[in-house]
Amino acid sequence: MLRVENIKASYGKELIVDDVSFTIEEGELTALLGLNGAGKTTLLKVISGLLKQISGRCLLEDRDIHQMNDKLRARHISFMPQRYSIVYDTKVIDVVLMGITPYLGPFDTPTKEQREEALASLVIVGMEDYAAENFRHLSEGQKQLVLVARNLLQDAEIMFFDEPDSALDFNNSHMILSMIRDVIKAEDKAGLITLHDPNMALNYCDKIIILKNGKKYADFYLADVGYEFLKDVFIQIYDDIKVLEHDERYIIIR
Amino acid sequence: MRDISSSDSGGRESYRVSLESSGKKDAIRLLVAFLLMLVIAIISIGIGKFHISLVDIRNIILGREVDPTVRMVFFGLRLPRTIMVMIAGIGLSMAGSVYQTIFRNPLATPDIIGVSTGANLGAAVAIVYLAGRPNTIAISAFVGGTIAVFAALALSRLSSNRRITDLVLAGIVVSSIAEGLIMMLKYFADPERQLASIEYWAMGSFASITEGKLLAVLPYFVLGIIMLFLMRWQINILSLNDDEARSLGVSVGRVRFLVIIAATLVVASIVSVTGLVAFIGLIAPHIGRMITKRNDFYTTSFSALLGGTILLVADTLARSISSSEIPISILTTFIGAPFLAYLMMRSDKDY
Repeated sequence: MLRVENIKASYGKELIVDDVSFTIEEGELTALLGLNGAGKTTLLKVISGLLKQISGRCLLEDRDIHQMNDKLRARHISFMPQRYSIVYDTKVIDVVLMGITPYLGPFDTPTKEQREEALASLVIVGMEDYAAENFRHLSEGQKQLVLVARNLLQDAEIMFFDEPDSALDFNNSHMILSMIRDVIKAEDKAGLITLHDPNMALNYCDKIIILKNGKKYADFYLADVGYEFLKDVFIQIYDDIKVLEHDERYIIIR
Repeated sequence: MRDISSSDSGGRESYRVSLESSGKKDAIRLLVAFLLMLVIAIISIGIGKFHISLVDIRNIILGREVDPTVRMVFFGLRLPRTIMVMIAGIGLSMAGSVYQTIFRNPLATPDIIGVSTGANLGAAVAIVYLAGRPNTIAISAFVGGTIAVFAALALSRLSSNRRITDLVLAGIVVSSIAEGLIMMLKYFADPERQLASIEYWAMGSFASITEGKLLAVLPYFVLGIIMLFLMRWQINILSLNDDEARSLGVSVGRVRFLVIIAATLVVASIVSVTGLVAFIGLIAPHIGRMITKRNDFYTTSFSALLGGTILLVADTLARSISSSEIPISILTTFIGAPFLAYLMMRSDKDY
């Protein structure tokens, strides 16, 4: 669905992403893994259209996403940041409603029907009881759920998530990851998520892409590979680790 | 789209009920704020060196005969002044609320990117070099304020990443240069007349407002307010960080530029005739947010009415508590500074 071709990108003079290509498909959740500085966030920003690449292109069904204006692109690609950036008191429903922005005219505000749609998105993530609450009073996990609802309302066929579990505790991390996975499957979206913890990727994703020093190091479907392959790949990235197998699932320990 | 009918729940129903009641509450609150401002305005019209009784005010409103002197004071002095005070309170509060939103900083004021200092410089130039007639000062102040903002915007464009902090820094740079120039003008100004005028201008006053001045700035004020109203939803989205706002389809750079231009029109049109009015653009939006518990265009409008009311009270005091008029910024500062201290000490920073 989204074809990323030979992307090179930099911050300042330093090349951060070096010639990376891959595709993501609908109904699949793909993990983007790598150590700090491997280029995950930069790559994600480029393919979301938020950062200009040096060379290469991102094609969405043969249309270059960097040729689209912000509004058009936002109808096709949604981006969930690591952490919310709401600074003032705001009702939960109003946070979700921001997701309708790409469908509004320049001087419009949301209609009653769009408020209903926002409420429906909250129902999907199980947060409808909090619709009239103050967003800033929610727990960190609940806040991330509300952002997922906002991305659902945005209704783009491609959904990007930038380490949505980075500020969450163990239980909330699993909760938000399984919600994202459910949403991708139920709505048949193409999902890409950057993660720190490879175990999360092994647990929830269909496909894993690994970056190392700005280059793509590996790119595989979990269903296609076995213990030996995983062990070889992950030792190259994380050095001194062990891969354990349990109930046809893999766990990485160190 | 998704099927929404199949997954209804009690939470949604209770939400709909609470939405309806909060919609009504919102409307009532806005109406009460508006009526309060009107009542204060009518009372304020009567107060001053020349007292106009409420009976006379009623008679004038109803179109009945009144004493010619009373009529002259009412239409020639008080009415234009009272309307200008309301406009100033509304405009400065609205601009403050908008700036606090788009700069994501609860302490941002309408002059954060240099409009006030620029206007001050413009006024000082007019006082020292252009004979300093009131209309010349107003035009020069308006031009100075607008140029300062454009200079800050242009300067911020020179930076590579164009973050919002660059805009604030650019504002500080431009303001500092303007301050320096103002000091130079003060140093060379005639201490008897010009220096005093420059100082008084910076303290703000509604004493010299005439119908002519009011009508001259009104179009710019109205244009700015209409622009802000039209962009109300996008202003809301600009309260997110740049990446998030762009990923929601808002062309951050362009929209922010337009919003700043609109707010600058509002602020520059006001301060060009009133001089600097301190703190009102900071306190009114804060009180507004504390009451509504949110930060959208409704809150901005509500804050604007509160600002109009507060400034009416301040201006009425300015012309009535002593035998000579007190500059307005002295009063707004004495209200604003303790309020800021109160905000600072509040344990939960939910504003």
